[in-house]
Amino acid sequence: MRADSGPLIRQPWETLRMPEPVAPGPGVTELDRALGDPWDKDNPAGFVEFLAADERAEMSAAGEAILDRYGFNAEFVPVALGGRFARMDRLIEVLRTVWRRDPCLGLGHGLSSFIAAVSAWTAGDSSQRSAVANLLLANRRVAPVYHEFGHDNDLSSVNFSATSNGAGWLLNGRKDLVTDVRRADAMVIFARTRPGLGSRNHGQFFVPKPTAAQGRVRYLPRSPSSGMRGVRLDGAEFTNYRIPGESLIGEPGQGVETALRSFQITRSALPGASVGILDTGLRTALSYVRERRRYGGAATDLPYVRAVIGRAFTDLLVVDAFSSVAARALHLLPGETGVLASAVKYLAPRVLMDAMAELSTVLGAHSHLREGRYAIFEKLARDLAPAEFGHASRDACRATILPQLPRLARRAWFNGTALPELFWVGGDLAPLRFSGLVTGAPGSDSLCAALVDISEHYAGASPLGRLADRFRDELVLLRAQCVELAPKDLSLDASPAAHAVVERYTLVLAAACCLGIWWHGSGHGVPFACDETWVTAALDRLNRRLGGKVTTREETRGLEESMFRSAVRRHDDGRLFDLTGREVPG
Amino acid sequence: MAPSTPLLEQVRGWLVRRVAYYAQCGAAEIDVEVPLAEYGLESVYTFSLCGDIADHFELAIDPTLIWDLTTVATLAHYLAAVLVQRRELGDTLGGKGLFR
Repeated sequence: MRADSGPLIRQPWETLRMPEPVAPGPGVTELDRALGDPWDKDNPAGFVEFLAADERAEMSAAGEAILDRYGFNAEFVPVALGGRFARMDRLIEVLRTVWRRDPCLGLGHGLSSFIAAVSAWTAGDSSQRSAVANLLLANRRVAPVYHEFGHDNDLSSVNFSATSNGAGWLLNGRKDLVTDVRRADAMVIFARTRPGLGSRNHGQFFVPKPTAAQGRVRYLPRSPSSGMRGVRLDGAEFTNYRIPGESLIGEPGQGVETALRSFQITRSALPGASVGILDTGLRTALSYVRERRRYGGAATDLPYVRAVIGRAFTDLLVVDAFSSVAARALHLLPGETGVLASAVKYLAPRVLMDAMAELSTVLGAHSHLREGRYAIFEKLARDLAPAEFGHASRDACRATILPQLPRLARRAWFNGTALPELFWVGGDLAPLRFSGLVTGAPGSDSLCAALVDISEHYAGASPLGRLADRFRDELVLLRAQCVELAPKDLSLDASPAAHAVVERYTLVLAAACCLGIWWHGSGHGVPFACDETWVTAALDRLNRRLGGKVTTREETRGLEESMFRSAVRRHDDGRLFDLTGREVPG
Repeated sequence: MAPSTPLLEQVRGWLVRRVAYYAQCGAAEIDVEVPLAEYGLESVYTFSLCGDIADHFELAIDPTLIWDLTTVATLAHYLAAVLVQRRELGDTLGGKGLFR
C-alpha cells in the first residue's frame, strides 16, 4: 500500500549504483543473504531472536553462528595475514549490515576483537600479528583490556601495571569494563610499564587465555548495562600474573602512541557502523506510519510526519557522508586523521541519537514498548547510546580536537588545496597502511580547503549557494575565534564558548564532506553526485545545528518533502537509506 | 657536529617562552631541565607545542618528539642540531629554499 500522496519522482541519483568493492572472499551481499530478512518472524536470526536475546541480556547464539559461518572475524584481519581487511569502506559496510540488525552482535562478536587487534596490526611483530590473525580467523575472540573506572578515556593515567622482571613481565591491577573477557581466547592489555607523568610509560600486551599456572586472575561480577545489553561487561583483577617478555606489543613506552594511531581506524568505523541503527529506525518509523491512519487520513499525510521522516533520512546521509570521507582519508591523508577521526566520533553519534529521538515522536508509544512489531526501535535506540561515550567519549574527542584548532585556523583553512579523491565515495583505494598512521599535529585541513574552494566557485542565490556561503562564513568566524584561544581554553577546563568552537568546527567539516561528494563525485560513480536536493537538505540540517537562518520556511519544507518522498521510494524498493542505496533483504 | 651556541640559545629561549605561555606562568619560572609534564604540559599541550615548533622552524615533526625529549634542554639541543644540519645541507646543495 502506498499511503503517501502525489507522484513519486525518481531522482537521477537513485538509479545509480556504487561499484562492488574489490576484496577477497564473500562480501556484504553474502552476509546480508546469510542473515536474511530481519523482519521475517520465522528468521532464526531476525528481530524476534535479537529482541529475545536482549531481554535475556545475552548474545544471540543463532546470530553468532551465522557470523562465524560467514567468517565475520576475517573482516578484521588484513589481507596480508589471510583475512579480508584492506579498505575502510568495506569494513564499514559489513559492520553496518550487522548493526542494522543487532549492534550487540556486531560489537560483542566482532568489533571488540578488532579494537584489540588493531594494536597488533599497527605495532606488533610478525609473530604477534599472526597469532592474533590465527585466532580471529578461527572465530576466536580477543578482548581489549583498557578501561579503568578511575581514568575512563585518559590512557596516560592508567594504573594497571606491568613490571619487568628481567625475563618477562608481572601484571598487577584491576580493569573494570572488559567486553566478554570470560569467553575471550586472548587479551590485549593496556598497562603502565613505569611510574611517572607523560605519555611514554605504557604498553599493550598480547596475552593468551589466562592459565592458573601463571598467577591469579579473578573475574569480577558483570556490570549490567542498558544499551548493548547482550554484550557482557566484566571486570578482571590480576595478581602477580606472569607473562613472557615478548608479550609487549611494539617498543617499551609506545602504548599511548599505538593507541592514538590505531584507534583512528576503530573510531572512524564505529559511527559509520552506527548508521545501520538509524537505517532500521527510519524503516521502522516508515512501516509504522504507512500502516496507520490519523485524524481521519493517512498518517503519512501529516506534514509533521513527512518532515520528520525527511529530516531523519537527511541526517543519515550526513553521517554517512562524514564517516565515508573520514574513512577514505585514513587511506589518502593519514596525516590529517588524528583530528578528523575524532571529529567524526564527536559529532556523528549525536546526530544519529537526535534523529532517533525525533523519530520516536512519530512512533509514539511504540518507541517505548519492548514487545510487538516495532519493539526493535526501542532496543536500537538504547544500543546507540554507547557510540557516544564508548571508545573515546565526546569529551575525549573534544580534548583531541581543541588544541589543534588555533594552528589549523592560522595556517590551513584558507591556504589549502582540496583533494578530490577524498570525495569519490566507493571509488578506488589502495589498501590501508597501518604504518602510515601518525599521532599527528596536522598542518593541513583538506576538508576546510575543499569547502572554501567550492564556495568560491559556487556562489549563487540558490539555497545551496547560500548555504555553502554560510559555512564558509562560519569558517571565517571560527578562524577569528580560534587564533585568539588562550592556553586555558585548550585544556579540559576550557570555557563553554571554547567547547562550542569544536561543535561548530565539526559541523563545518560535515558540511564540507557533503558538498565535496556533490561537487567532486561527478564522473566518479558516486551515486549522489548529480543531485542537488540531498546536499542542500544536508547543509540545511547542519545549519540548523549551527543556528542562524539561511533558507526560507518554504524552502526547508520543500527539501524535507523531497527527502520524504525519496525515503518512501527507497522503502518501497527495499534499499538502504545510506549513500550506497544497496538493495537488502528486509 | 655540535650546534652553534647562539643558535642553541635562540632555540632554547623561544622554547622557554612557548612553554611558559602554555604553562601560564612567567618565562623565569621555567627550568630547562625539568620535564615539561611537570609544568602541566600534558598530552593536550603536546599537540599545540608540536604545531608551534613545526611552524616556527618549518620542520615536519611528530608530537611524540615531545614525549621522547621531555625537557626544554633536550628539545632545544635536538632542534638546534637539526637546524644546523639543514643549513649545511642547504649550503652544500646551494639551495635557497630547498633545505632552508
